Amino acid sequence: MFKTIQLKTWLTAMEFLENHPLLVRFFLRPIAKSPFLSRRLMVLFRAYMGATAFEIHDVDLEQGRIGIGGVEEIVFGAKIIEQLHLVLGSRMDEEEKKEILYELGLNLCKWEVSTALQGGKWAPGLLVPLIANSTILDDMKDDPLLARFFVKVMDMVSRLITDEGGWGHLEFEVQSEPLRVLLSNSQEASWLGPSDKPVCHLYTGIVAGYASAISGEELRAHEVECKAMGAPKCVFEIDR
Amino acid sequence: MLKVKLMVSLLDFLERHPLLVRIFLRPIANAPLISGRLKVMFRAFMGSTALEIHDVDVANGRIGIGGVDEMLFGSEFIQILHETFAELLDEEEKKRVLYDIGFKACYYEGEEALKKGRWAPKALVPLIYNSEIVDKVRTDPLMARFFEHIERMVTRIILNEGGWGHIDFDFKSKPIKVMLYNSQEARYMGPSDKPVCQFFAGFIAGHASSLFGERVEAREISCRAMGEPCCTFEIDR
Repeated sequence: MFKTIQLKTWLTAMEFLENHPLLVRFFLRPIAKSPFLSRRLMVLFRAYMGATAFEIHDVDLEQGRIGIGGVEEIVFGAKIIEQLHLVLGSRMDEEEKKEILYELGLNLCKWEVSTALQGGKWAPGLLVPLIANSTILDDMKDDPLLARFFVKVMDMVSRLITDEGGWGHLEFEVQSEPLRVLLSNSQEASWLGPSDKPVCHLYTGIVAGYASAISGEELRAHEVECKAMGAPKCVFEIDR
Repeated sequence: MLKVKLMVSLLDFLERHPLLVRIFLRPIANAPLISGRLKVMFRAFMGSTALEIHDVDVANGRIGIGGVDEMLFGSEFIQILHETFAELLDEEEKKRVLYDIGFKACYYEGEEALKKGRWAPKALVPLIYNSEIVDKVRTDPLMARFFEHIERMVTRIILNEGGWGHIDFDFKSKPIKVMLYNSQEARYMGPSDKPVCQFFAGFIAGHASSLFGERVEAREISCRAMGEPCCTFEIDR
């Protein structure tokens, strides 16, 4: 009962903000960016108040460090994606390369999500168990309210990490069986296509990393459609 | 020469007047109608941060600076790269692979930035990007000052504000030395009895090759992971 009230309250607030972009832009965003308040606000709150990922980033110019909500980051030229594929491809067969890139993505994403959750700077302690728990993937199938809430939170998290991190744009189909994740403008597909097979091996690992970190289970993902093959979007399915 | 003198006077002036930059120039450099027309380096000298200069296309999930596409990774990616390659390859091969990836990624960035023409005005680029730049810097104090201003700003935008640490150059030493403070590789891969910044050595070689217009190599001669205060690289020409 308490969970339903919580979900309804959060959803109402999120949908209100979604329906009032001018309020967000002209009133809340300046608050989310103001020097004194911004440091006291959680990452997701600032994001819903209209702050961009770059505005939320912490920058330590002297030490040469950047990060968001306690998760340290580094900026790479997007060419790194092509280079990883080419260098690995020149030293091993296709299947081995695919598995290595998958592992890189999986480990990277598990580290990022667990660091974000442990750091306590992304979302209030009360909100985290609603999203990250061992039954979340099953619960969403029977609970449309939870599914809607989950998708809204993941949309915002992926806006900050994926869209504003230069990886493309993500959508989640959490009630489909198996669970599907759609990626528009995949960097791997842009650099490595056209191809007659899916090429987003690193990103497949990232999707599996997200799902595993959130559910606490070791989950695998595979790419069933790829932009490099001419599909409109890259589609990943999560195996359970 | 007059061009260099003028630029150095202007850059020295801006350096001596941080309040003018912060309170007056930075808002201009970030103003929506003006910022799109200004070159990356102008905006940076006017006080904009790298994150403010970045173009962000939220709908398509793309970010970039001055026409060069970029991506954000968790910093642990460096450690994951090292460890994954260590499982697959012997030490020498791993070193070469990381160096190659760093080199190609950085060389491409430099070339792409030049090609797109959004970093600096065309008339200024050949003053910096040419094969004789090192000799000029060594013999001409004015050129050395100009070059120092530019390199300090480029590395601030790409490295300090890209999460890689802070670097200083010593172009007067032979071979050229590059000092990296707070290396991400040393942090994740140290302590070690050998230098560990293999990716960054390639990164420096790629940057220098793009700058000099010829292939040059870099090697790390001492490393923070070995207990040194900073990582030092030498550039062989």
